[in-house]
Amino acid sequence: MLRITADRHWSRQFGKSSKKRITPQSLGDFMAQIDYITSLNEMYQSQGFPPYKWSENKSSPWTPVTKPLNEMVLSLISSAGIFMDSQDPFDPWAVNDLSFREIPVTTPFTQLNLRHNYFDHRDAVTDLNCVFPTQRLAELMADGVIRKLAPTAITLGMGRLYKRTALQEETVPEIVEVLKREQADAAFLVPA
Amino acid sequence: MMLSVLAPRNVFIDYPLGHSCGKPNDVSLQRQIITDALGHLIEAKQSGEMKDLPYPWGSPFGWPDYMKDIEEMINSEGAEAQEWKPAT
Repeated sequence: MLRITADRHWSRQFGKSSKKRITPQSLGDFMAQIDYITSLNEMYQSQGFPPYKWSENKSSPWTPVTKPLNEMVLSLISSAGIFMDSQDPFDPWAVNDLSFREIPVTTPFTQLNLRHNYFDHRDAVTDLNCVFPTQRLAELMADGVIRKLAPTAITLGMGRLYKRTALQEETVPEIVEVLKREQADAAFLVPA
Repeated sequence: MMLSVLAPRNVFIDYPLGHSCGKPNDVSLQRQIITDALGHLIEAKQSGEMKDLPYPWGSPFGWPDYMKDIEEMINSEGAEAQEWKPAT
């Protein structure tokens, strides 16, 4: 699995607690990185919520790549709460929503919706490629960068999820079946 | 969060949430981000390996902006605010 994200928990990496870490992004351009875990913990605990048990994986499984990119079938998975007009909508303030949607990657954006209020989705609504890059991936397929974009993209509406075991033992196996059915070599995970 | 979840291969871009694959309608940037990520799929040598992408957002953003932007979004869309209270 390949995961691309705009969130990084620097404090955990460096053993320090701080809301922000400074790292150079380019010559002369410094930008504070947001420590979402610490900030969210502080915000919700100040409201009286109990501490959230964030997943802390010390390791992850490793499957070596055995073929070049241009021979791979790539599956897209996005947690941006996207669904088709014909599908049940996601609750934008979802809590413990373990459901997912299967979306044909050829679905025009005009037939897709985004419901997710845990991030500012205004840019994504104007161009879903920000969090659901089917058009970009289709272009890369046409250019031969990847062999194939798997026909079905998976979307989830991940809001606050406390049922981690249920997600792992119920939802994930169903998603894996879709990936297997479409003979995916790799999954491209885009957290919103 | 990325370092806590630790997927087998990770690519990080320091953009506000909702922009993991780039800025809206910036086709070349989106394509570059995705291409770099796919490159990491091939190049990564060990589990959990992370690649930082070098494309700056271009303006400062921080936690207060994250909360402010969501509030602004809700107000502009006339959406309902979240009504979620701790269990008593």
